[in-house]
Parts: sequence; structure tokens; C-alpha cells
Amino acid sequence: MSLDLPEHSRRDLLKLAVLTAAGGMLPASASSLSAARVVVVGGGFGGATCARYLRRLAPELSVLLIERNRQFVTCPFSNGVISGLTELDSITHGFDGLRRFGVDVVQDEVTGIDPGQRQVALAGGDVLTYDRLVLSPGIAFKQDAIDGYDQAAMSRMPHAWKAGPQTSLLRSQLESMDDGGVFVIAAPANPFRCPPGPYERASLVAAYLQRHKPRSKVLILDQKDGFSKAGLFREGWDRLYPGMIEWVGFSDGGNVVSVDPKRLVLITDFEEFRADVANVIPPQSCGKVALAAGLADDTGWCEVNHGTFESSVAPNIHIIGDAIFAGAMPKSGTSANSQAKVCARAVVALLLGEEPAEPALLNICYSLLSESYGISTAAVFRIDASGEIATVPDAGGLSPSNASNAFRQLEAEYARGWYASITADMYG
Amino acid sequence: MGRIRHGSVTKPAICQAGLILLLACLAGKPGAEGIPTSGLADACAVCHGPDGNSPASIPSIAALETDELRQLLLSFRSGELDSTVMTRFARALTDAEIEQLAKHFSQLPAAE
Repeated sequence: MSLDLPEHSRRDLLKLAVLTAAGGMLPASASSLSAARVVVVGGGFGGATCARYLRRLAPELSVLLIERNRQFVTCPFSNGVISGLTELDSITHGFDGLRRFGVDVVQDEVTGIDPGQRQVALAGGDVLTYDRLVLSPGIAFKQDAIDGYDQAAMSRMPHAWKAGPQTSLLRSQLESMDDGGVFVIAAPANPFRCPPGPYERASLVAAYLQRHKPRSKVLILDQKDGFSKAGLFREGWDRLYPGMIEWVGFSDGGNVVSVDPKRLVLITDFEEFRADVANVIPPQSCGKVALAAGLADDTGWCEVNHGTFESSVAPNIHIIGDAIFAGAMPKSGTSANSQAKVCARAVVALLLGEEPAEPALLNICYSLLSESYGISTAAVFRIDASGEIATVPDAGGLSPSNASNAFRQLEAEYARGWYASITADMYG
Repeated sequence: MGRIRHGSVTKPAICQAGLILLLACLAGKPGAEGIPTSGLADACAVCHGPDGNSPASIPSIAALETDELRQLLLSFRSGELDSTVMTRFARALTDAEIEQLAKHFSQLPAAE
């Protein structure tokens, strides 16, 4: 006899039948998840968070994290290292905390993904099977986006937009620069990793120069006509480093089209600039692993479902962090961490055959203009009617203009507090 | 869940009631409105630390009294209480979400 229930109830009843057949009555979770495995690729803000939260939600789930480096060096606060405020080891994190949490951390590199077979191949030779795959591969630099900026150029004109050896290199170049020199930053067009990053770098480099090489200047050549928190940065620059930082926007000739690494020359639409230190931050795409697997579109970024972060082009593969189009979310560490948690919940729900919950997402980006002067931009996100991640109106926003020294100092303290909290959240 | 259709026999009605209970248990803990509590609370960790225990300058929020947490969030949301960033976040929260967050963090243990 038919139960004659409304459509969605009939579907729910079918789900229950599947779960019951699969593993008996409640709790269904333990038995179905203990046989499942999730592979996470990338040990940064997205991947480490996702691996940790998968284990929090489902301690019986097998979670494998693949990361090519033994330790992870964060881009956040790398500007502090470049400018001498702190040392590289303060932004370097190991994976023992994740291992203690039950994540199987494997130091290796993914060389191929087979979505049909649900397998990833590793450089070391292993082939791993997954039920769900989470990619958090970060960014890659677009070849030939700036003529002359190739792999070899990166050691003459560091990007320092992936932290580690490049961070130390740029720091040593700054320290070797003569007083009166010009530190040039070439900032890329949107979208790119860490929108306020180049301008925080300009600020902290200026702080260093003001103290150690006061006749020097910072020049920003920008592929954009505006930038993140511009009003607040300019206010701070006028206050802290008057006359030291010059910004040239796209329309005024800031668009760097080619470079000569030997001569440290940057060529824009209108003229040539000779730098004493040249920090070129080139245009970007999603990380190599996602590109090679065909998961990106023509612009080089990955389309995903905004509620679950599942790839729009491959089933059972989720992508998070800088690599994706995430609607209104900027490419930041906090965004990656926030997406990772939603992704972890969605993966567990999907493994259980349940509807994933509605996502809660936020971002906060702190920028230091000096050790005691911080600013922030905050946002809260929900899924809008068309299924896209959109900002919640009337919430979020920038730090206030013309705030007191005490306010700026407190935000600088909280920037450090954010770093300690989020890295504890990721690495334990 | 759909309404029990008038005139259904007893057995399907019990199945349906059982179904409601089971699905409620499986679905995680949704609040009265808004987003499932612990999903929302997860987001706070970036500043306040995992499970509300902050290792550095930002205040911990684990194990605070429900009333105190609720009042803080309401006061941040209204702007009555000054903050660097909390008003900007609290303005996104509904009353029900504030209630859920206050209860959630009050139940978490403070770190040693």
C-alpha cells in the first residue's frame, strides 16, 4: 500500500531505507564512515584546516593529507619576516599536531588525478584511492603573463608570494640595498592571492627603510586602478611614512608588461623603471595540481558548488582556498580556513548520504602598516538566491578612518592574535 | 516533513513519526532559525581559537556564562559596546543565532 507522502518525504524515506540496509539503525555514522577515506591535497590554510575538521567531525574517518614540504611556511606575516619584524621560524609550522589528531600526513606530491577511478598518483610512486578528494593547491604563477618573468627571473626579482626561501631571499635583498635605493613592488591585476598583501608589504618595507636606510623609497607599480583598503593604507602612509611610498595605478602607467631581470628593469605601458630591489608579484592561476587535472576554466581558476565546494567539472572532488572562484570571498587565509570547515561538514554529510548544511562563511584580513598600527577588513557571507556566495549586507566592513593610535595598536595586537589562533586551529 | 494525510492507517503514521525522529538526529543540530549551531561557531575559531580557547591576545570565549555571551553579542551588534571588529561580525547574526552561539560556547571547557 502506498504511503502517499509529499515528494520530499518520499525521498527522505528512501534515504532512511538505504542507511538502514547499509548498517543497521542509529548511529549510522560510525559504521559507514569507518570504511571511508578522504584524501586532502595541500597542507596550508585550506588543506590543514579541512583535514583537522574532518577528524573532529568524524573520528572514525580515514583522512590522508598530502603535502610536498616537510613544514608549511605561511604567507601571512611573511611581510614581517621580509621587513625584519620577525623570523622565518615564527611562521613555519610542522604537521605533528595534525598527526596526533589522527591525520595521516604524507610528504609527497600529487602527479595525477583519476576522477573515474577515484585515485591520486604520487611522485613517490604510491597510488591512493579516495571516496572524496579535497584539493587546496593554492596558486601558480602564469607563465608569460609578464614578458621575461620566468623561473630564472624569480631569483633576481623575487615574488615572495609563496612563503619560504623566496621570503628569505627578498629579505636579504632588502638588507643589502643601499640607502637611497628604490624598492619596487609590481602588483598584479585581480584576482590574486591576498588583495591587501602588496600594500602591507610596502608599508612594512617602508618601516624598515625609515629606520635603517631613510633616504630610500618604495614604488608600487600596479596593474589595477585601485586596491584593497586603499583609503586606510594612504591615511597610514601619510601619517607614518610621508613621502616614502609612491603608488602608480594602471591608468597612470603602472602596468608592468615586461621585465629585464639582469638590469632589474621593469617596463610599463609608458616607461622603464630601474629598481634596486624588484619584487614582482605576477598574475596567478589556481595551483598546478588543479590545472593539470583539468579542473580550472579559461581564466585559470576552479568553479565549485558554493555550498559544498564540490568541483563543477569532476564529481567527488572538492576544491577550496585560493584556487577557486568563491563568489564574494577574497583569496585569503581566513577564507580558505572558513571554506575548509564548510567543506569538511559537506564531505561528511555526503559520505552519509545526507543533505549538507547551509554554509556559514566569513573573512577577516588584518594588515600591519607598522608593528603597532593595524587595519582590518571583515565580511560575513551566506548563499544567495542564485546559489552564489554573497556578502551579508549591513555587516562586515573596514576599520574606521581617522581612528586613534590606541585603536590602531589594538588592531595590530589582534592581527598577531588572529595569527596565533588560526594556526592553532589549523595545526594544533 | 509532510503532514500525515487524514485517514492514513496507524502503521504508516508510526513510520513517519519514527522517520522524523531519525532524520532530526542525523541532520546535525539546526537552530530554530539560521545555520546549524556548530557550523556557525566553527567560524569564530580564527580569532578566538579552536573551541573558543585563544592562545594569544584575542579573548577566549569558551566557558563564559550564556547570559554574558548573549549580552556581549547583542551589545556588539547594537554598537552599544565598542569594538574593533566584533560589531562588524555581530551585525550578521540573528537573535536565534546569538542564542545558539551563547549556549554553544558556554558549554565548552576553558583550556588549562
